[in-house]
Amino acid sequence: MTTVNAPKINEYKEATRVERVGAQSHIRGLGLDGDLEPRNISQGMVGQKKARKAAGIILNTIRAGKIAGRSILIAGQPGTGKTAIAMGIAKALGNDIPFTAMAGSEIFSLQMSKTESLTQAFRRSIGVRIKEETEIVEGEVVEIEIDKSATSGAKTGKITLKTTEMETIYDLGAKMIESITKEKISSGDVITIDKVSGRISKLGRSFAKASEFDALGPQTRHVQCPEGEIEKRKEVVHTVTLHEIDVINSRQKGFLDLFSGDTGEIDPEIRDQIDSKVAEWKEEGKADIVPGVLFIDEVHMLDIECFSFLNRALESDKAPIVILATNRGITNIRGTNYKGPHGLPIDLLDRCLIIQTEPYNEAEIRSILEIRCEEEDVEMTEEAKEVLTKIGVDTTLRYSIQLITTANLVAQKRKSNEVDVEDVRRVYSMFIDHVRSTQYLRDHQAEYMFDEYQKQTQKMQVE
Amino acid sequence: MQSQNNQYLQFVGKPHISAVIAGGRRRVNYTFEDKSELVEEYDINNHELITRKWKRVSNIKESQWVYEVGEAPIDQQSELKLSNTNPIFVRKDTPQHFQYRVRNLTYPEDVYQMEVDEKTQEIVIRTTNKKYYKRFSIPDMRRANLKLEQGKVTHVYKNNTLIVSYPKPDQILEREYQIRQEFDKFNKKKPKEGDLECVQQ
Repeated sequence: MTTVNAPKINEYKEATRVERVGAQSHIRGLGLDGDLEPRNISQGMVGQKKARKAAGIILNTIRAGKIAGRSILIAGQPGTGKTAIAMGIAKALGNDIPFTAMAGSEIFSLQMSKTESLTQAFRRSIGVRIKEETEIVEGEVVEIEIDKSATSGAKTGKITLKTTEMETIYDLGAKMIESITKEKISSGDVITIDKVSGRISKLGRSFAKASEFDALGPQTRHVQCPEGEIEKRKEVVHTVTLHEIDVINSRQKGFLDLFSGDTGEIDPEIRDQIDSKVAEWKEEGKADIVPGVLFIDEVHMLDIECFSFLNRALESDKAPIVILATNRGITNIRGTNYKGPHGLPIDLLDRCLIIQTEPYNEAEIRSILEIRCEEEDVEMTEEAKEVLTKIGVDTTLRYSIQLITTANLVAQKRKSNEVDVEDVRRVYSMFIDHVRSTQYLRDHQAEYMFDEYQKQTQKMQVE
Repeated sequence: MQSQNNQYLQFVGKPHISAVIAGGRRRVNYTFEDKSELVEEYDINNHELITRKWKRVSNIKESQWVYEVGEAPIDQQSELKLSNTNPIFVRKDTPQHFQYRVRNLTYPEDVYQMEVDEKTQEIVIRTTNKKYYKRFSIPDMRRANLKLEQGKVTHVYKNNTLIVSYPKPDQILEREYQIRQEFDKFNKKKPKEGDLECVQQ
């Protein structure tokens, strides 16, 4: 273990802010072209063309914003891209349209009733676009100074901003320093900081600094140095969700509760007041209602009470588009003694458009693995990819994806930058998939604790 | 955060007014129909206006006090705060003038330029070395619908402080005189800390 290199690696990581890679982080959109035709491999999505095309049509329905309260059910076997499609829709919609993702089980909370959870989820998915005056700080960056205290490790910093008429120095708090480092703000950038929300936007680079030799990205814009005062009030278009407005109005310290996450039940009277106020704003032209998307994964976990609630809620004219996903077949409908397709009652299914996802073929699995390798920053030889694809076909897609980073760690241990077949074989033998696990259990059942079979044999021996 | 030029600092309908003695000062609370508030603090003895602050109620975010006269308390926890090396702009009137002081200005005297922007009804402080710039209006004048006049702005620079003055027009002097009379009447009752007073306006 070489400790000499360790400090350097830490510094590098801080400078570029490596973020943890999630299971769906490679999805950037639905990968459709102008005519809504899905490209085979695009924006992180592979294959699954029928489902993606259907999703594209839904996307346009959402964007048009004219039709409320549609529901879509994405159904398919495990590992067929249901959550990925929902992610694709979310990314394609962008930041302006509220997208709330939740799992069916999240409804069951000790702090609030199921209907309250669902109502909050619905209201989180309806946005109100308001023009607001906020205080902003706008100027060209003259210099940024960030110091790290030797004793406490806490960071302090100063930033000097200027306009054509004046200069000001600001002291920076820890979060601001983080944002500045993340956005890679440097001298010569023209930036805006929203004083209330703390958000920083880079407007571009100052013309005055254009002559210097900087390695500029392709999207760099050049702008004028701002004029006048650094602190201004500007009108900004702001999208808040109905839920946020509910919370702020429901109690004194409501605003702070938004961050602590503890909102509890909200009085329905307040909700009515908010609804009428928002309708008023709409009439006066002060605000726009933006219905967004509510995505409920594992929807078979909801019970019959929730389903009845959903039926009713979908009928409101402000309802968001609801996307449900499940991998169950004909299953018990929770809260009843009946079975239903996908674990949902037929009257809810009737309100849904159903998109089916199918298992991937070998070529598609190969492409997905290649995309994940890139996303997880892993180099792999062609042969290793072949073997991994075969594993994916024989076992499951998810299992083979999980082998990518583990095989990479094994490869690094033998000081190689590239994953080869032997590494894949090694992790394949170290970590078993559920098929082999089940087989193993069948063979060695007797050796496990609390085994029924064992008890029976013991009983027989005693007798 | 000092006052800015917009409806934020206007009266909305007839306010409910109450006054109380608090912290050694006379505090007058105005509550308006839309639930926004105005708080003024006067010195008990000479009735000088020490603070005036407004709060507008917003449905979508936390409301904050905006200080028209006097200094807002500095939020030490704020992520972005003005470094204490910057000039500080404060309003503190004298009986005859609206007065604004900018402390911590270290540039030479001849650098400062004052003018009235008649279009936006603001006073502008410029510096020829492009280090300090400030635009501000006088809300009292706005509320009384009086116009700022070029040439009436005067300034003095000493002790690293720039003092900008604008004379109060008769209409405003009248009103302030009336307020002082009213407060003198209250003072005759020898008020103590916590006393509530009835105010008519």
